[in-house]
Amino acid sequence: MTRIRMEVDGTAVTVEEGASLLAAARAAGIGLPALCHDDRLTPAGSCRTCLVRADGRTVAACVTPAAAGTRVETGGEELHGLRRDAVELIVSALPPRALSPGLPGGQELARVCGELGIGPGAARGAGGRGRDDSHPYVHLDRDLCIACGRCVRMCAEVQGTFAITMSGRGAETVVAPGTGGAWADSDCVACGGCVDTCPSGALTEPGQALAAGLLTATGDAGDAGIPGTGQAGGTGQSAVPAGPRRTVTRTTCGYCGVGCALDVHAVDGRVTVVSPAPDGPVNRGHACAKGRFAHGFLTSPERIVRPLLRRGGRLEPAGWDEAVEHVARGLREAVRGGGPDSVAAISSARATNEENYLLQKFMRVAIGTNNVDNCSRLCHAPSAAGLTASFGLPGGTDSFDDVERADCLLVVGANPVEAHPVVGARLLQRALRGARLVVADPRRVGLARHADVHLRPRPGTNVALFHGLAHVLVAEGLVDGDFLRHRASGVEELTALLADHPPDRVEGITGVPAGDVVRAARLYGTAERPAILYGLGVTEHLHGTDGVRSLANLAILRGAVGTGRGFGISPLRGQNNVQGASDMGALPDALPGSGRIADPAARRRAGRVWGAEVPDRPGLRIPQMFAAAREGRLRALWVVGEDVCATDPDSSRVAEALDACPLVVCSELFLSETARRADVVLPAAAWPEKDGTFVNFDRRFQRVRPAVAAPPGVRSDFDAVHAVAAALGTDLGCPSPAAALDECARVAPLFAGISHGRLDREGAVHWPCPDPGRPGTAALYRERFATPDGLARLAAPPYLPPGEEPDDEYPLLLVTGRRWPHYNSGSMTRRTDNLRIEDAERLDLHPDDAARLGLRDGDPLTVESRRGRAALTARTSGDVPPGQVFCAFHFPSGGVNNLVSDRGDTVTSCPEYKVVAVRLRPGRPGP
Amino acid sequence: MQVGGPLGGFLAADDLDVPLSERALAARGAAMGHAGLVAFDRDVEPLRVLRHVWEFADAESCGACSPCRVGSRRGLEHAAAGTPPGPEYGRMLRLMAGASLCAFGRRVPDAVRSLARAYGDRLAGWEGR
Ligand code: SF4
Ligand code: SF4
Ligand code: SF4
Ligand code: FES
Repeated sequence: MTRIRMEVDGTAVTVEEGASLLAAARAAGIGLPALCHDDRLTPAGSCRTCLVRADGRTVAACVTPAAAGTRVETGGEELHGLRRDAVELIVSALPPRALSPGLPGGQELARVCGELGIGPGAARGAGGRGRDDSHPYVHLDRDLCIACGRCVRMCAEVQGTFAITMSGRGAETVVAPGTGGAWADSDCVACGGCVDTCPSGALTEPGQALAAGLLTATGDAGDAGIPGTGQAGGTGQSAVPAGPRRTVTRTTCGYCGVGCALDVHAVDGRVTVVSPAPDGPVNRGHACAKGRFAHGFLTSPERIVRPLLRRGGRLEPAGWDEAVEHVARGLREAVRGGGPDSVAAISSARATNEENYLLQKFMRVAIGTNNVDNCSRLCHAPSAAGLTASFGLPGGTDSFDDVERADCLLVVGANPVEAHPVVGARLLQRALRGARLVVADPRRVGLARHADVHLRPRPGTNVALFHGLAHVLVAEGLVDGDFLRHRASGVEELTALLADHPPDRVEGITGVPAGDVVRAARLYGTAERPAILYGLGVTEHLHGTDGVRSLANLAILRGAVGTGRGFGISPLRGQNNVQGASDMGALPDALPGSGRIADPAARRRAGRVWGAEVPDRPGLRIPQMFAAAREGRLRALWVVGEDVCATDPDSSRVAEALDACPLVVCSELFLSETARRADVVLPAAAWPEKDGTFVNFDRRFQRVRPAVAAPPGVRSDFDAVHAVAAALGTDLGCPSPAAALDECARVAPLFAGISHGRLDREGAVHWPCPDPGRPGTAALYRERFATPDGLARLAAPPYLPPGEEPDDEYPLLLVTGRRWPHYNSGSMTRRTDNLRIEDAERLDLHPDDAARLGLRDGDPLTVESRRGRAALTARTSGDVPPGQVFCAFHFPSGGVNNLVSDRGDTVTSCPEYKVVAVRLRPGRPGP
Repeated sequence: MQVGGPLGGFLAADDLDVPLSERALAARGAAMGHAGLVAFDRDVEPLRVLRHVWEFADAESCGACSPCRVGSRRGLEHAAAGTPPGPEYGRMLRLMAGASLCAFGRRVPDAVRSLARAYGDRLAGWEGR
């Protein structure tokens, strides 16, 4: 990037070529009003408030590029007056309340007016254009709109949804949904970006009014403590003394694995507004409908706030001491009766690293078993297994910042636009700006609309598809021979296997036209910096680990991993801390930092730190725990933050397992299906109430800080584990979350350099990070792979058919996934206004199938598989291919996971959620 | 006499002895524009002509930039009210002329100023200085 020298008000400044005069003025320390400008958006030059003189001409600074030697003047009575007139004229069209103190939103306009000495009297428009409050989270007051167009550009350029537009002309210009009707009926996906950027307060969210109300009600009118006041650094919470207690806390989103940094605003301990942190390393000022808005569940009246104990068949409130004593007694009895291996725990990918660390330590040290697993078993266990086998470490190979610079993106079995919205938005921006995009997914997912090639394999045929792509890379000489010779192994076996996978044979298996296989392989193979991203569409299969490995083959063949010539392969993690839960050793066969239970040296290292012997027999995986319970071999099970009855496959058999287990302890926010079946329910804190860290999908540790206190009677899982350990007479050490991570750093060389203190200073740190004085490792394997011989391993698994295929009796294939307004079992999002956006489980089916069955949009229907049935509502959609249907499982009442088989990945037991043979019947299920 | 269309300019009766060229017209605050000529007789109320020009500006402003979007409406309101505006009118014209995004907004002030000039005393207070 060349830098050029120029002059602003007589001071020399250096800016990047192509920078605007606005940027140059800022570089010289001069602030200008810039009401239509947002650094993230293409400049529009529409408000004309940023006027300066450049070489004698009056110009709008934001749209005038700086040229070498330009002399810019910003000062002087006349220019100042002109800018003031520009703002004053805009304000003159607004109604008087526009500048009244206490208005929710509109901080930027108010600040600019204050700086220019424009008083509230300047606003004297008539108003009368009305409001649109139809949407639960985005409210429009048309009279306050200054037609700056920032919201429209935000929706298009950052979010990529194109939901809104400027409508009308001249003085009537105002923002409106592109679909013409109410905001609630528009394409808006409630990312909140437009609200964040709106300078005038025309667009607001309910929390801003709530905050304003709370503050005025308690006598603190004036600055309403709204976004924009968020502190930049990573130093935790700041409070303003006297009057209502306003706090802004920097934390990490507890919904999906993107790991957005959020500023949680609270008034008197109540969350009002959650704003994306402008300096968030992954989200850079953006967020989605979940992290941004779905916090209402915190104050839901359904929150469990006292422990519950089963007495005489009923769950009844109890004190913490009593509940903990009960759990300890049950655990002691189980160990006495069946040995340590008759106790198991399911740790939570939603809990913090410190909580996961503590629970696995509790199981290994206090109980003496490796029976601890986490829900990554149900989603990304094949990623951990596959990536470790191919490259050596159980995580994505490159950081998302790099992935984003790829010139060809291969997105497989993932719908980031809905499931990982901030990643989805950023990928879409890349595609719109020219990166080639290949999408492989049976459904026409959000990104597929913008793809150069959309491959739609039959569910369960991924391995054949990936081999087909690899075949073309080899056949057309698109492989990196040098890399294969020096840094990879397994070339011969793979080439032999690939000979059998020409595109036309692959077409026969997958249904993907041979020509598309060739086109996709060429796009990937000829790119200079290709990157692969994938999701559960690759892992949740009978041969999920094979899928991960044969997909990783492509990056190896191309030399696009560990070289900087491409950005490897990254799994899109589902839950906020699914990476971290496994990293912390909440796995039956691994210790913190990926040490294997089977490895005596790893056991010794952990044992030394813990002052205890680590059991050497790998523990039970989640499905094995349930099987053991049904067979009477499991006597106690502690389930933390996971509604296994709603989310695990073949749900009715899971319920049987819980009923058969003598002691089931459930740590939960709400009385979930699992909690209802438990013997002891412990009320747990939610993510905005917790202290600790999460690891996001690209291996970044980030801090989680309590923004509000948990309701009285509720404890963090961290405290609950300590309490039970204490009742068993064990001191687990780790008095605080910070101390727990410190101890983990001593157990796990991969995390040795990471601590709360460091994260507070630096924000986010990638693992591996073995040294406190050196940065973490964003891109892996630059020198060597972490396999024993340092080579990347090509895999040659044969294609094997899925566990289930449609037949005459069950002619349709069901694929399950996610919808953007909700999260997982929906226990949190269903208790927020997201419910107003999506209020029931719907089954997408192709219009042809719908017509054949006589089903129309909104009709109730019953889905049946060999295992069970579910009650859903029909939604016709061209996004699913004929013969396939799609739904999520955000509403447990639908019972979707009754349908799924508990058959799982042959390597990791990850269930085959993506392939279920079903049939449909109109109407609700019979008795 | 209106020369060059709605955003051209106005010339008073005794100013019409001018060559039909860009430069000569510009020197008198008018413009060639689309080269149309519209003559007004003395019975037309000057304020009505002024209002007509502002109505045109208000109807045709696309709204892409604020000086023209708001200024055109504000100008129309002034003209409709009919009382000579205060100094903010002049500041607004200066802003529209100097800062509008396109030639439309930039030319409106010239047109209304030349009208005020052409009518002299009959539009006193509308010079927009
Ligand atoms: S909330 Fe997001 S998606 Fe909705 S209109 Fe605003 S920017 Fe667009
Ligand atoms: S709603 Fe806000 S951001 Fe959108 S055009 Fe109006 S003032 Fe600008
Ligand atoms: S749910 Fe995911 S994308 Fe949405 S704000 Fe949270 S971390 Fe970001
Ligand atoms: S910020 Fe430059 S014209 Fe609006």
